[in-house]
Amino acid sequence: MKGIFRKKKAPGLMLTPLLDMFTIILIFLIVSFNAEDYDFKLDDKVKLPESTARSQFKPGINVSIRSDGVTVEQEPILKLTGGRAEEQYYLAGESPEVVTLLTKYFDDLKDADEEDGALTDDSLASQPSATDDVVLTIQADSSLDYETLYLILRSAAKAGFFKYRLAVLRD
Amino acid sequence: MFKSYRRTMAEVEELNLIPIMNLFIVLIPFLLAAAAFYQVGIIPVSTPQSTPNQTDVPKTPVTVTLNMVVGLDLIEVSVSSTSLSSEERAALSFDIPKKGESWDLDKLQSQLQELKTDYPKSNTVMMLPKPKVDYARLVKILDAVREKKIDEEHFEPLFPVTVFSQFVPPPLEGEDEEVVEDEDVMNLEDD
Repeated sequence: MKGIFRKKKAPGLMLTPLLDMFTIILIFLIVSFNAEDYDFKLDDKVKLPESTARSQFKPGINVSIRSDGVTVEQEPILKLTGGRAEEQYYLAGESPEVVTLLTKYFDDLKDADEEDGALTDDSLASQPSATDDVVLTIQADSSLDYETLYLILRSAAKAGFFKYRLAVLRD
Repeated sequence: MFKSYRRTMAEVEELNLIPIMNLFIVLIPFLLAAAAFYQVGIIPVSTPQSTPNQTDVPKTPVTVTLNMVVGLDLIEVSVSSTSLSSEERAALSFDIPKKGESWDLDKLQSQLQELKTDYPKSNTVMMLPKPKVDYARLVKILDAVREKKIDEEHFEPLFPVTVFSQFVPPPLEGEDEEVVEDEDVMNLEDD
């Protein structure tokens, strides 16, 4: 008789399987976490081409060329229509807007370099300066034609940038 | 006896997992937000740089520079070199026509591999795509030109230094030959 009226234990939530699952997810995320990629903001409107390139991503001044426009460090600078700029730019071989903005970036880097004293000391003049290592990271849409890509590269070259990293999705 | 047993059982408490769960719930959204579910790689390239005393033609006798004109239906490969005669250079030139909808990149790689075997110090390719060539196709060609995959772990470098320039059609007969700024003087540097 005593056993019938025994108070039943309140049912508890089974946390152990949930904890197991969380542990597995956490380990997976920690392993795949790449701190270097954290600074890189992939433009949602750009479909990068796929490539077998094995070089690891390195940061640089971010230039994004999508079918509706060009941005430098997320600042819209040139309007494109269907991946094409106005014909006058192709005839001129450069985009003055891109040249002006990138020249500003280049000059800022140069000024920062001079402030550091790298160029003021004659003995260090032959050493590589910050601007020697400045590289543009180009995120270009895979549907673009070469003429538009080269228009931006050439405009960047006019601003002083001669080295680029073409961002691609690794196969 | 049973009373003491019951008392002992009551004293064994379950591990309190709630703080660990709280920690996990905070960590997982943070890591999910920061996680990159794609792998971004890079292809280092450069454009010609005007410098007074440097040319695109290699100074060492054992190297050649590839000039690759990429058209919509044909890839034309020629070489520049100081040590080779025009006949020798012409003998090294070859074309890769389009095979159906895609390029015969295996054939391109095997030809480049032969060139690399003959001139092992060579590493530079001057890409001269025509204006309407699309970027995705160009990247596929670059992949084939830069290195050859031996197996999953091993790759053989071919011409990894890439310089982008612009294809300028040769002048028609009777026209004055134009001086092409890009092909005047160049400084080829790897990233």
